[in-house]
Parts: sequence; structure tokens; C-alpha cells
Amino acid sequence: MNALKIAATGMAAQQTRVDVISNNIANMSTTAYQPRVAEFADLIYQQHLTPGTVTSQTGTIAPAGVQIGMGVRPSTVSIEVVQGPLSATGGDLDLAIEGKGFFQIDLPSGETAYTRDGKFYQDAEGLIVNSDGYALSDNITIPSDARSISISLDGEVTAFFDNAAEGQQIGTITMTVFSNPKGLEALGGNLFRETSASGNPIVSEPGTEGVGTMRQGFLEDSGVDVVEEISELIEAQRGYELNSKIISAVDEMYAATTRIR
Amino acid sequence: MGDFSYIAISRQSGLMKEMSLVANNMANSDTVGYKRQGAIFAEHIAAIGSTNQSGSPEHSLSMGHLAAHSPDFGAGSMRPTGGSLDIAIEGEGFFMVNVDGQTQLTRAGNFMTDAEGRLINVDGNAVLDSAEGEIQIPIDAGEIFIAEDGSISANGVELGRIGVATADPQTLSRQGNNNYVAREGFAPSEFTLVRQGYLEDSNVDPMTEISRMIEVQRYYDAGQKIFDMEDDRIKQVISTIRQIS
Repeated sequence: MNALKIAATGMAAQQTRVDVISNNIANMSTTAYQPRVAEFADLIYQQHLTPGTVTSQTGTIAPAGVQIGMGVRPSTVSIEVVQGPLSATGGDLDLAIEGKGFFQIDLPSGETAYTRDGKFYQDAEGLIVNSDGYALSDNITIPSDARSISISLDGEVTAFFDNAAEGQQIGTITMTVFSNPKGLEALGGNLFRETSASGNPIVSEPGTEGVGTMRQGFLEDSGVDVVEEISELIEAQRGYELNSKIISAVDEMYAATTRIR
Repeated sequence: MGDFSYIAISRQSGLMKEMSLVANNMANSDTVGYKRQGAIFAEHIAAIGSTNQSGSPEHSLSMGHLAAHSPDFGAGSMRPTGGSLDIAIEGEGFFMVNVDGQTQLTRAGNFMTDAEGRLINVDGNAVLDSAEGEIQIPIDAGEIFIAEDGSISANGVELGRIGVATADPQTLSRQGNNNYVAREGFAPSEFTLVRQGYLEDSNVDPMTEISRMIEVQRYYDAGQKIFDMEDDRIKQVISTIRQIS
């Protein structure tokens, strides 16, 4: 009954792929969304005749053997770390990261989450928070009498007051990088959490090597390429159909078997 | 059961196994670096009955059975991914990964770094350089550039070189997880080119697999017909004997 089960693993794998694609397409307008990709690996092999088995007294060996695979499994659904296109919004607290870094957000649980979504607001006290109201870990409070806010490429936040020509530095927005951003755990709400696979967060000054710079007045768009996703979807659908063809073919073979007199 | 049945059964069960191979190819039509398998049938001769004075059998029975798989190591198509640690091998050769202390070979080049900055594959196994050592990519390395000869550099600093090994495809044993064990060893290759930002797709061609699938199914049907004919023949023999007696 192998072939049936093998084809079923194939159908399940393609189903996973379709799930991943539909989530990507659903997030085609999500700020700073990083597309996910499903990748597969073959399952273990049943060694019917191990290659290298001795086949005669003179020491000849089976050159290839018979190894029958048990199908396929999704090996990873990894985060494609891409730089989404930037779109100008003009918002004072709209920040886009050009580079590999993440912003740090304090969750209500006390944990730190990471995001590339730079759509920030100020709450009643002037604290910089994300769209869920969670504070930016750098704990920057904008004075209520500030006329405007300027954020430099390297994250320095400067407030300008009514009469002064010179601004006053009120804090620095730092960024974090991970040695393996593919290993981050997605929490939803554009947030990620560190895992043992992602490595420890390395807090760095924006503008330093590998971290990237901050762009005020821009937001990073979703990294989803719709044309690519649609063609992937068609491929996944065809893959599903091919595996289902195997199922019906094997079904007919078994039907023939049960007719043996 | 007569000799006939053994012959037909070995043939039919071989076809079932071939169907499993086709199903496995099809299931892995999107597996990175997967190489399709074919099947080879061989004649299997079994001695039956008594032996003559020199010890060789007086009668023998020839059966067809599934003797070997024929791995097809043809190149799969290259898919651009843009990932800085997605690497495809052009031409022959394999990446080397360390699986529990053993060096295994793979064509799947979807690599990443782990928490310590080691270059690893999706199962967390270290990717090896040409001297079978691990490769370290510092987190603050910046933009990573992998040259065609496998050397990894960032900002002009060389960080290591991805090793490529060649082995006789016929001596490779499939382990699953896209990995192979080279039974008779492998040799580092200096001349193989790698491509950064690409992954090698499975080399399964759906058209070939579907036609194989139909072929196997038809052969199987034909085998069942022979069973029916043999059944009729035996029935007739029995009824003839009954009439005579």
C-alpha cells in the first residue's frame, strides 16, 4: 500500500504550499510583511536491496540496489528576508528600515518582540508606541509642546520647539539584528520573537555595518510579489493533481488485484 | 500453486514497487535538489525440482523482478530566489553536510546560519568546506557574497569556502532529508561552479512520470489477465479430467 501513502504525502505537501501562498497573498498589503516559502525534503527510504550488497562469491556487488522513498515532508516554511519597497507617507513617526535590522517592542508580558513595521504613534503621554499600543523598547517620550520631530538615518530623535532653531535630542531608536532571521518565531501582528535558532538579538546603532539605516517619512511595504505567488499557486495546484492521479492509478491496480481468481 | 503463479506474482509485486517509485518522484516534484529514480527489472533464475549429477538443477524458473533503481542525476532547473544563502551547484557535485559526525552529500542548497553563525542546512546540520570543516559567518558580516568557486566573502573579507564533492552517483545511498551517503567515498572537486541566489529544483518531469504511471498500470492489468487465463486453463483441465474419469 506504499504508493497510496506516498502520493498522500505529496498531496499534503502541496496543500501546505497552498496554505503558505494564501497567507502571503492575504498579507500583500501588510506593512513590512516578509513572505514565507515552503520547502520540502524527501522522507526516509525503505532499503529493499541495499546498494553494495554482495551478489556473488567473487565479490561483485549490487551497483544500485532498490531503495523506495516514503514520500515527502515540508522541511521548512522559512521567512524570506527581503527588503520590501519603501513608500513615502510623510508621517513624522513612519519609519522604514533599509537593511537587515528590526525595531524592538515591549510586549505587555514583559518580553521583547521584534518588528520591521515602522508605523508608530504617540500615546496620551507622548510615548512612542506601535499600532497595538505596545511601547518601543527605547522608551522615547515626545514632549507635548514639541513642534516637530526629526529622526536621523542613525536613529537619533530630535524634537524642535516653538522658538528654538536648534532641536533637542530626546533619544535614540536602536535596532536589532539576528544571525539567522529565518529562525525567528512569528507572533502575528507583524511581530517576531527570538528563538534558539535565530540566535540572540544583537542591539546595534542604526547606520553601523549590516544593520541598516532608518528612513523617516517612509514605510516598508509588504515584500510579497503577487505575480510570483500566483505562478507558485498554479504550480502547487498542478502538483496536487499529479499526486491525485497516482492515487487513482494505484486504486485501479488494487481493484485489479482483488479481482484475481 | 503452479510455477506460473510465482512468475506472475514476482512481476506484479515488482510493478507495485515501481509504482511506489513513480509516486515518490511525483511527491518530490517540488523538493529542492531531488533526483528522480527509475526502476530496472532483471531476470531472476531459481532452481526447481531435482538436481542432476553435476549438481546443477534439471529445471529452472525464470522470473522478472525489480532488481535495482536507476538514479537519474540530471540537473534540475535553477530557480532564482534572491536569498543570499541559497546556493545551487552547476554541473556535477554535491554539498557536504555533517549529519551526526558523518559527512553526507546533498544537492539542496537552501542554507542559513544558526544562533552561533555556523552555516547550516534546514535540518540544522553544518555545511562543510572543502576540508570538511564548519563554516562560520559572523552576524555583523554585512552583505554576503558567494563567488562561483564557493568562496564566501563580506566586505572583501573571505569567511570560508563552501566545499563541493564529487562521487559516483551509482554508489550513493539515499537517506531522505535530501541527503545521500557515498558508500565508496567522495573526492573534493575544485572545478565545480556554484550560483548564489538560486536553488536547484527537483529534476522530476511530470510528463515522464505520468506516462510511466500509465505504463505500469497497463502492465499490471495485463498481468492480472494472465492470472484469469491461467485460472480458466486450470478449470478446463479439471473438468476434462472429471469427464474422463
